[in-house]
Amino acid sequence: MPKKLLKSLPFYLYLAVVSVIILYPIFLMVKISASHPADIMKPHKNLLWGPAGITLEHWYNVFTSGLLLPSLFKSLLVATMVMLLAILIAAPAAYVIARLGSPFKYLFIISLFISRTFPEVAIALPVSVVFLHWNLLDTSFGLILAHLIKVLPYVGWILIGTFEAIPLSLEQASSVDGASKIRTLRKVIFPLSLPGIAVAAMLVWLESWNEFTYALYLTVSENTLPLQTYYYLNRGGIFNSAAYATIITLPVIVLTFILQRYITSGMLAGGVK
Amino acid sequence: MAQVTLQKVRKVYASGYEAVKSIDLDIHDGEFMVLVGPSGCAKSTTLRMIAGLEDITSGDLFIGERKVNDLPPSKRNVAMVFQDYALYPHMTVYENMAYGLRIRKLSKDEIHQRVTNAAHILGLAEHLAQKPKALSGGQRQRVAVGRTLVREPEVFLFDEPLSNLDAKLRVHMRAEIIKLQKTLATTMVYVTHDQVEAMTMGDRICVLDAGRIMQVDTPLALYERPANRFVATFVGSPAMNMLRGRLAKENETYCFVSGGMRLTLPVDKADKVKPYTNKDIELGIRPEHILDRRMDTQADNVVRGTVLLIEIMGNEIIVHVDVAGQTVIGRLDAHAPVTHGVEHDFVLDMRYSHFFDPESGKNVSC
Repeated sequence: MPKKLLKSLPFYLYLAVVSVIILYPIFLMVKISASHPADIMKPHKNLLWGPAGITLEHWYNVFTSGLLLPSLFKSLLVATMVMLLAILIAAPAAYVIARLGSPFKYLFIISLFISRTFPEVAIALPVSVVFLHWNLLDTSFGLILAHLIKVLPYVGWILIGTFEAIPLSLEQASSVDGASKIRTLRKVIFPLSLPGIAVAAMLVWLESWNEFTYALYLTVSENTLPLQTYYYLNRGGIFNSAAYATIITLPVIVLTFILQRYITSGMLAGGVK
Repeated sequence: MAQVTLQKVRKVYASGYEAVKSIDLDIHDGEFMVLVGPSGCAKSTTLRMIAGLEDITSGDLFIGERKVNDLPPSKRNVAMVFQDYALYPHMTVYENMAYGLRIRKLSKDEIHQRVTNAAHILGLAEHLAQKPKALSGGQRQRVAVGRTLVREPEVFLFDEPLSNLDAKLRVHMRAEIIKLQKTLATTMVYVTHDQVEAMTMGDRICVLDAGRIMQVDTPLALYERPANRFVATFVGSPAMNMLRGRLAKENETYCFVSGGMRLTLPVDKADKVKPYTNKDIELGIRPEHILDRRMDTQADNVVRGTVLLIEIMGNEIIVHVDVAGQTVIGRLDAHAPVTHGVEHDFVLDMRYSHFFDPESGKNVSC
C-alpha cells in the first residue's frame, strides 16, 4: 500500500499544483468581492485574506442596487433560449449532414466556419445596424439571434461528429426490425446522441452566458451580466464588479457538474463488433 | 417461411458502377442458401437488396408471393444478422431482443416468453440484464442471432456473421447456426467469403464473382462438377491445380500434353473433350487426385517432379511440386516418403480430371 501511494504521489502533487494555478484567480475574485477595500488597495497584499476580515457590503450593494435581477433574468433567458434554439436548429441539420456523401459533407462542415473567420467586432457592427432597422436593438430576441450566429457553427460541428459516430448499421438493424424512420430516430439515434447533445448544449449555454461583444453592440439599457460587470469596472467599482463576476461564475460551475455525467465515453461501446 | 426469388435483378450505383449484373436466383422455402465469393463479388449487396437496405435498379424481387421491390425493410418481414452485430448499445440484451417485438405490439407475456426462450437456446439467460459492452464477442454475436430468432421472420439473412470471431468460436457458432436452421426449417440466406463455411453450412451454394452468378448447386456438386474455372479454383482448399496444354489424339486414345507431361484421358472424358483435339485446353485436377507413385505402381499417367515445399498438416501433407515448369499441389498421406528438393514420381488420377475451355473457362468435361 505505501508503495502504491508513493507511486501515485507525483500525480497528486501535479494535480495540486494545477488546481492551485486554476483556482487561485477564482479565489481572488471571491476574495475581492468580500474584502474591505483597504485590504485590497494596500501595496503589500496578503496571500489569503486581509486583516480587516470579511465584509458583505459589496454584495449588499449589488443586491440592493436594483440592477442585478433584470440583468440576471436577461442573461438566463438569452442563454437558455439560445441553447434550445441552437439544438433544435442544428441537430436535425447535423444528422442529415452526417449521413451525406463525403464531398457534400465536407463542404458543409467547412462552410459552417465561414462566419468564424471574421473578427467578431467586424460582424457585430453591421448586425447592429441591421437590427436597428428591424427594431431588434436592446431586445432579448435580437441578442438571441446574434448569439445564434456565433454558436450554430460550433453546435453543428459537435453534433455532426456525434451523429457520424453512430454506426449506420444500427439504423439499418432498427429498420429491418420493423421500426419506422421516426421510431429509429426516437429510440436509437436520440438516446445514443444524448451525450453529444448535452455537451453541445452546455457549451452553447456557457458561450451565450459569457458573451460580451454582441451584447455590447446590441444593448442600450438592458444589460446582461457580463455587461453589468464591465460597467462597474468602467466606473472603478472593482468590488461590485467582483461580486458580479462571482454570480456569473456560479451557474457555470453548477452546470458543468450536472452535465459532466452525460459526457460519458464509451456510450457506443459494445454495439458493433 | 417463404421462398425468395430474384428475377433479372441489377444494381447500378449512382457513379455508374454496376455491382450486380442481372441475377436470377430461386431460394426455396426452408432452404439454407449460402452466397459465397471473393471481396467485391456483390454477395453482400445482393443480401442487402433482399433486406431492402439497397434499392434494386431493375428486375424483380419476391419474398413468398409478394413483390417487395419497393417495400421498406420494416415491411418485408425479414430478420438480419449484421457483420458488425449492430446491437443497440444503450439497451440491455433483453431490450435488444424485444425491440422488434415491441414494434409489432406483441403482448408483454408473449415478448417475455419468446425472449427467454431464445436466450435459453443461445445460452444467454444469465446475460439478459446486461448491456452489449459487458459481453464477449461470441455472446454479442449470439444476441444478434437471438434478436432475429425471436422475430420468427419469413426469411433470415446473415451477413458474414462469424467473420469477427476467433477460429475456435467460429467453428462452434457455425455448428450452432446449422442446428438452429435444421430445427426452425426457415429460409436462410447466408453471406460469407469463406468457402469452408459455405461448404459446411449450405443446403445449396450460390458462387458469385464480379456481380454474376457462377454456379448454384449443392456443396458436393460444386466440388465434384464445377461449372467453370472460377468455381473449380474457388471451391476447395488447396485449390484445384490448373495446367495449360493441348489435347492430342494418338491411335485411338486422347492425351493431354503439356511440357514433358503426357496424360491419357479415360474414355468418358475423351468423349466429351474430343472437339478440342489439337487445340489448347486447360486441365484441372484436385490435390487429392495426385497420388504417390509408390502407392500404385501399376498406374499410368506418371509425372516426375521436384518437391518444392512440404506443408505438414498432421493428418496429411501438402506438397508443392515443380512439374515441367508448372507448380502442382498434391495432398498426400502424412507419412508419404517425399523429401524437399528431391525428384519424385506422382500419379495423376485422370478419372477425376476436369477440362476447361481456355477462352471462356467453361468446364467442357462434365
